[in-house]
Amino acid sequence: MWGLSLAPYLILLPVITAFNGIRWGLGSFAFSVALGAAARFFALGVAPALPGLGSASLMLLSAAAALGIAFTRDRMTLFRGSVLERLRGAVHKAVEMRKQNEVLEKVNRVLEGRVSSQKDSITILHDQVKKLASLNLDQALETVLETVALFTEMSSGSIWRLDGAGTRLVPAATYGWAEGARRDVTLDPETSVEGYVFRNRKPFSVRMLLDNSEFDRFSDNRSIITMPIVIGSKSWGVIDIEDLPFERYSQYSETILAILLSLAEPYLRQITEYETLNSLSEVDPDTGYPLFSIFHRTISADLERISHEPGFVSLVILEISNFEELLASWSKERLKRMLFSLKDDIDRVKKMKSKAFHFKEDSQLVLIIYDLDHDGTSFFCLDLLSMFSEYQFAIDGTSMPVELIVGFSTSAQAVAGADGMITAAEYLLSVQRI
Amino acid sequence: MRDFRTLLHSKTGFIPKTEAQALRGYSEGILSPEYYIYLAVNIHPILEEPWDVREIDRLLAKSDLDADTAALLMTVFGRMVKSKDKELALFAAESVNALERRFVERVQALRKKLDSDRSAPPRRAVIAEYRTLARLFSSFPVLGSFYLDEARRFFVDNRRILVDPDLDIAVYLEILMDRREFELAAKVSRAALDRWPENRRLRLAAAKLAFARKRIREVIGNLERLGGPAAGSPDSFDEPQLFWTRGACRE
Repeated sequence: MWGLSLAPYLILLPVITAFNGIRWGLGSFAFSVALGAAARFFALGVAPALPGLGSASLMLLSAAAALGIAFTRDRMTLFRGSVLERLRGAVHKAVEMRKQNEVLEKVNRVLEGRVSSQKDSITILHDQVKKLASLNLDQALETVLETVALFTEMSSGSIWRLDGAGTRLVPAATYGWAEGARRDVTLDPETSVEGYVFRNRKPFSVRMLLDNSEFDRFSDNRSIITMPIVIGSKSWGVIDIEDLPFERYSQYSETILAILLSLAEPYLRQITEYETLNSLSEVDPDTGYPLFSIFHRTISADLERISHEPGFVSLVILEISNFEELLASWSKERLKRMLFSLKDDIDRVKKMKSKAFHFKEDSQLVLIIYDLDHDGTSFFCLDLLSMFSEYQFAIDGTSMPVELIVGFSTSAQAVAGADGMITAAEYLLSVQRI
Repeated sequence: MRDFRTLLHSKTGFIPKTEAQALRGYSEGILSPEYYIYLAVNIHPILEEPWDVREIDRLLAKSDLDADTAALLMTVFGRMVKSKDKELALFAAESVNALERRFVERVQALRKKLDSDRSAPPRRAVIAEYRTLARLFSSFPVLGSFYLDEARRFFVDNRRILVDPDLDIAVYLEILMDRREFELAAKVSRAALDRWPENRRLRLAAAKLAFARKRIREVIGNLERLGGPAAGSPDSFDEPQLFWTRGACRE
């Protein structure tokens, strides 16, 4: 009967092992057997007999099951430990990555802000320089001051040039001048810093007051930095930085100003030349644009100039081929004005400034364009033809289609002088008329 | 090697416009990482024409817009309002109003807290916001002066609380200089330096004031007395100090 009475205890061994391990299983088994034997002894008064062979095999089976369970349990514990370790590592890494990501995002935001709010980049300088090519002096001078303000943080400045009589310096453009503030609007070239810079073509910086007594005689204290604007080796005017943040006053700002003026010089030269031509009063009374004689002189002077320095000059003749037909509807003066209005459209669309003149006929206008080679000029003309392919003049509710033909030539071609270029361009026009 | 077109191909047709969108697209697995890199390194400066209105709009929508970017946006809007494109000019005008309203609301929110808080920091914040507004409107002199006057008046009303030479008196001096009240600024500067002769910020403010008045010897005198920064706390005054006192200004 021992064998049967031992069976519950033998079941206990693998069950406890499964839940709490082999030590707990054996302990529970031994404790329960001892407890059962003691109970039997006290209840019956006889010592329990040793188990028989049948019980021994049951015990072996139970021990084997308990050992198997214990082994599996240990493996599972180890596996769970390693998985937990990996999970812990992954969580730690994820937290670390999240922190890094937060920091990098902040850095990225700062860098992005720094780039997007960049005021003194090369691209912005390029944009500003492109604006100079306007043939409009006021606009160009305004752009010069604006560019200086962008690159030096100047808050107030001006450009001065001689007045018509050539006796006083007057402001040609201003930046940041407060309305209503009292200022000198004419300066004596003999007794002002601006006059000194203009006459001597030497820059002035306020720090020169420390060592140079030659500035003591100038009473005004308007300038922080003043530089001459030299066009074609002649003094044309001066630029004056009147107000600058203290931290920005350095040799760097002076150098930047000199660089900006040097970049502006070729554009200012073109504008002043164009202004001079216009002031010769050889202009068409209807359009206000210079006549063919001025065109001829200009192109000749340009060809002479580019023989000494790199660059190209091109001429583009635009002709309205149905001009006679349009004359039936509108007056010649009106048509001439409408023809020259095309120049504004070209400037706006091409973002490339050109000088416009009257050519030999009323139906023709000629443009002088700089620094385009032969291919560049061809593409420019093709663009013009596509721009005006379906163009119509519209006056007082009546619109008429305009037929444009274009002839061009460039100094890049092997043609001799201004007359050679004009002949080459006229030849192209004549081919299109056929 | 994959070409540019392949790298920037979007399988789903989603074309990100901003860096953040590209990054999101990449983390969702619908865009290649190159898309993000391409957008991240191709940032269009907001001053550059033609203006990137979408980028300007995005910056404007930022709740934590800093004063530098706001000032730059105002520069752009100042040009944009003169544009021949009426839609663009209208956008600029509306944006100027929105920007001003936002900064004014910040001042109002800060001022509301002042009754319950008698300490200096919120008052300094109010002055800083007024100065930011003045800076935003630097190209509109009337408005710029108005906000500087507000900052000055606010300082005077709270001068018993705002007594720190670095954080308050030097700032007041800068306001006076921005307002071009040079005589008053000189008086305040002298009195402050009598009381705190070793204060670097006050000394630098005195140098700035002398520079604004084109008194070059005074600039050098003040910078020579500026001394060095406290150990372990370098400041940004070194560069002008070196320029003016080590002989570079005489070259």
